[in-house]
Amino acid sequence: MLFNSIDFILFFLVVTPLYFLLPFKFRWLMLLLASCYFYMAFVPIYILILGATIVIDYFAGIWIERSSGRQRKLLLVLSLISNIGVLAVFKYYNFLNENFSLLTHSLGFQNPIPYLSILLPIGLSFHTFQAMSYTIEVYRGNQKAEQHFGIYSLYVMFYPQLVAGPIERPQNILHQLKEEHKFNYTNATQGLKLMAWGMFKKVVIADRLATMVNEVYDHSELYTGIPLIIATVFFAFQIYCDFSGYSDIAIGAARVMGINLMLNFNRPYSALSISEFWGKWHISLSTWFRDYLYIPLGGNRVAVPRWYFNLFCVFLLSGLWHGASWNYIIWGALHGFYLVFALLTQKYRDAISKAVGLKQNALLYSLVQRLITFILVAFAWIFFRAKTFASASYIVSHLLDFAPNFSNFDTVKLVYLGKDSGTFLTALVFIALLQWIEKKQAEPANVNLFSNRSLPLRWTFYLLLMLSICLFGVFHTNAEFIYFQF
Amino acid sequence: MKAFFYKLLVFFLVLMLPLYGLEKYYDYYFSKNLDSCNKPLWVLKQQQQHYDFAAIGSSRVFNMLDIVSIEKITGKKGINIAASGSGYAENYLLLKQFTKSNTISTLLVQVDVYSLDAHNAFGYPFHDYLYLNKLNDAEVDSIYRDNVPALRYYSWKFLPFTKYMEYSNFYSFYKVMRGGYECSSSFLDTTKGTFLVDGSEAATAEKSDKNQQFKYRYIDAKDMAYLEKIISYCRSKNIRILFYSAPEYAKSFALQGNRDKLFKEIKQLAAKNSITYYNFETPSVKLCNDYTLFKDNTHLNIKGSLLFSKQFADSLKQQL
Repeated sequence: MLFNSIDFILFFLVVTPLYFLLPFKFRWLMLLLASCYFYMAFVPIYILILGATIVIDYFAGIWIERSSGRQRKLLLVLSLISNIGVLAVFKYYNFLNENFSLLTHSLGFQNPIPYLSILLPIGLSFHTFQAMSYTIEVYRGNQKAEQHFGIYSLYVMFYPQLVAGPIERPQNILHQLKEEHKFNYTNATQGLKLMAWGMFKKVVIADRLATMVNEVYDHSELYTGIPLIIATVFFAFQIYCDFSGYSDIAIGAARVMGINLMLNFNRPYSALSISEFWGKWHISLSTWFRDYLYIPLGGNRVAVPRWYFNLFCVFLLSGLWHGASWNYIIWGALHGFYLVFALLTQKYRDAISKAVGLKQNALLYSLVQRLITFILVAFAWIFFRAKTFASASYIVSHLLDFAPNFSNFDTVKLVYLGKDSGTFLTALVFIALLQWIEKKQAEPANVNLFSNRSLPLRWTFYLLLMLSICLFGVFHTNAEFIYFQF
Repeated sequence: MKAFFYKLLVFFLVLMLPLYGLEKYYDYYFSKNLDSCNKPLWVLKQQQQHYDFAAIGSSRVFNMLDIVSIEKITGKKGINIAASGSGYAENYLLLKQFTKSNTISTLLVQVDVYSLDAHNAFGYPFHDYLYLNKLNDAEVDSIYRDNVPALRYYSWKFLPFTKYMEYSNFYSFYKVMRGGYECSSSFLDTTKGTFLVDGSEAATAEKSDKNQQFKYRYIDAKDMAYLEKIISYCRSKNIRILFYSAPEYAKSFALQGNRDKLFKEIKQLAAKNSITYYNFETPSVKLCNDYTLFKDNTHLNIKGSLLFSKQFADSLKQQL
């Protein structure tokens, strides 16, 4: 069930009032059943996989808490292996087998291992990581093992964040699922506003940009230079609006019920460096990698080469988390490289900035930093979006090829990316509007940019937001959220 | 909680007002500005004409029956009102809308294993997005109710503007702002609604039959019901009906399970309703055995279509 569908609106309109109308003791059950229904709307049979991992991790949590020493560690390892095993089979098996086939082929013999004809269960990487964070936290003693099987199941399956996050920590959400939440006017209005804003980002900006990005990236060999650059910049905003839009709807839907999910995006394209970008982009995943991989590997409290290795390794795995393809691995490796390179060249870059007088002009300095960070991030997105490595290589090698083929000059294709000027210019206006609103909201004085205004002004804004969604939104049935595939 | 729901309700009622206005404007605007290059919309654009014959069906009519050739041979005025990938439900809707402001004497209805199993044979047998501005018409409404999933139908019906939201790429705000479609005159005017297509994919099929797979075909109850509705509607309007089956590449006959049974039923239906039936889809028809006349297994190319249209016109001479 997609958030941008009538089915979800009806689902939400039934589940939310029911949550408040039911006696407290039945609420968890209703939410769990609703979450099962929500998940089964995609591929029903995959609920069995989810069920199996829930059972394993539920008992693992209890046994880990009761045991100590080597046994405690062994139980954690077994639980992690079972979770990673599910990921390995459903997400990475065919990818590994395909690469093994290439290897065996180059060595002159055939790969005897068969391919599996399976679909990737929706949101597998998200709920698997959320389940793993539970057993790890229980092992570390930061979280008590949950005794209530239903509540634990709901922790993994809570519908707003089940298929695309935020990847929650048990300390943040488990206790909230057990608390009684009375209807709260502020929570309800804030939640609905966040949902509307998320929907605007998804259907008005992301899905409209997608129509142009798809045109270029699906036929990249027809384009060079400017259209490739525009499509890449558009994709940077498409994926941001798509994913942060989903997160906003998820956070909003939970907040209406009085449940607070963690912040997942914080104006990532305003980052001054790649490391800052990762503190603002998909925060629930980057902190997951930080807490459960980077720090256990030693973080930055190790020898410098090992520190760089740790950083690179984490981003390589982050790339692999996104998908079983070399393009995602290259995307992750690029970000790892950016970070290591930034650390290695910090001294020299500071010296150059000082020498050319850039540091004296704070505004210009931050502008340049923002621009460079955005260019680096957008460049890496090429590998994320391109369907194949060959396509990504073509785009990279033709990105600065500005000589248009005048024998086949087509303004619509070259400038407007296959769409009319209206679609193209409206997309630009909405991107600018998004940047302005998010910048304004980030300023401490404007936390409640619209909430503190007079009723007619507020309602005018909300009505305009809803009308924009209705007028400019793209509501294709196949307009799925990009991150669902992970 | 009560106050919250009250405010929410008021907000949605206020929101409904501009949406209702927008829906009415879009209904009006898109009834006046039809895309002449879109075949079904071109059909709806025809006004105050009398035709001696009209042909209805799917792409096996739209792309294969050359009206100009038939007109030359028979000396009668005709029009092709078929639409690609459409089943009898959409054909029925188009026929009814077309005959509201035009008259026809004879209707040529293409019948075959695909059109009687349109819900399985075609990916999108009812192009629901095309006639949204006519949803207030009781006849169109009843066809929609029958062919669109209930949730969508009722949301389109009772939530203003949702029908246009769902197809915002087709009914784009920019089109309204810009003032309609660029396609004001259409090649369909010259061809009388036919669009012949060239190609020779059947030549590939000749070498390898892997292109098509064996499939059982059945008569879909809904498709049959709409074919019967077309028959009774024509009766009520005093329009004569002729059935025909367009040529198909003979090698693909073997890929159609139940084929003989289905054709038997077509003949029975024609006999029951005293309808003359022309079957060009048998191995005895020379056209069906020459793959060079086919674009693909189910569609004749330009050369084949012209040849077939002449043959059909010769048969029709006495009937029209």
